[in-house]
Amino acid sequence: MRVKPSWTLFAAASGLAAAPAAANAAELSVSVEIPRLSVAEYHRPYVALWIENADQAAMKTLAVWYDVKLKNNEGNTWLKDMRQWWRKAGRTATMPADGVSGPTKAPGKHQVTFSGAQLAGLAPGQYALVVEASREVGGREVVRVPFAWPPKAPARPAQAAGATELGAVVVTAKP
Amino acid sequence: MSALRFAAVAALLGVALAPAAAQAHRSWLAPSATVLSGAQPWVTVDGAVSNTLFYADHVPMRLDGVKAVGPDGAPVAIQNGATGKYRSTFDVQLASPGTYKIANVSEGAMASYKQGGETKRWRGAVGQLATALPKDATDVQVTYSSRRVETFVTAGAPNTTALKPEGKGLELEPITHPNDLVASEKARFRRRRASRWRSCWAASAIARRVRS
Repeated sequence: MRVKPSWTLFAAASGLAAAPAAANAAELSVSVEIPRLSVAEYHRPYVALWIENADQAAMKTLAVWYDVKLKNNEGNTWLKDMRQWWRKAGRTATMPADGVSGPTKAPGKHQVTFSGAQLAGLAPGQYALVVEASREVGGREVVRVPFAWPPKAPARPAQAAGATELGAVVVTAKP
Repeated sequence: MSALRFAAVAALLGVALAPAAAQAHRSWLAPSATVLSGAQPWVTVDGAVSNTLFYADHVPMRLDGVKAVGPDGAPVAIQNGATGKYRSTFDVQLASPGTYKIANVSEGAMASYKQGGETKRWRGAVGQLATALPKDATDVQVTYSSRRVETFVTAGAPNTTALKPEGKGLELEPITHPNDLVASEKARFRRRRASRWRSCWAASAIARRVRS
């Protein structure tokens, strides 16, 4: 209920009559690099992507890559190892979740895009896209990339990189 | 992903109340994990009494007084209990989501009295006190003792039902949820002392420790 008036305000302030529709055309494009590691025992990391507001409160979980296909949802056992995501969002969510759960990813760059409709409900402001990776017999790392929503033209990619469990994370908010 | 360890902090918590006997050896409980996900997860808990916390090198914790309370406040079964030379171990299944309290609780009474000019002592359960002393006992002095070692584990989202004190002896009531601690941030607890224990030496001994 609080979100709608602020959308209207934003539209009025920027003089864009079609702002809500335009925001739906907007998208958030995220590239996550999972590094190739030369270790004796390698397991693909569990990875969570979510959005935090300026107070670092979780606003929305975008994706969770884990052993989603194990029988009896056994993969849920280790969701808590993505500690920050688990505390902020995971433990109050029901997993698997449509459009959020996905399988683990191999080392390499992975591009995912979230539509404006998926981010509907985000009041205009500064946010961070947070990526957390946690690997069996490995470590854990969190990378935060700031972005503004709704996006303004021209779209400029923002980037941050992890040191151990995550490579570059590039976030492009396209209007 | 067992390399990630959450156990130590919460286990330490439980030990804050441990030195009830004000002696060097401290009893402790160490759960295998304190934050769990998935359906009906299990924790294995080690319990022992030793000089150095979490190093089982003295005597095992006796499991008679160990009990668990579930997220709805109802008792939860202690399973697969075993006592070794230095360490006891048992399992708790977290069948429904929420916070569980696992505690080793014991209480007792000691009495000294005079019978026919001779000083005698008695020690036993509180419930037996009324019948244990001879009718002609005089100068009766009774000391109650209550001790508890607590640890907390959470499956899924935490709740606070199991955190409520039982209203016996001296208890530490968490204000900050013990499974929501953050390294380097302040955690707050409230000291709860049931009035019946106000003059009890054991309670005041612990109270001093908690305050300092």
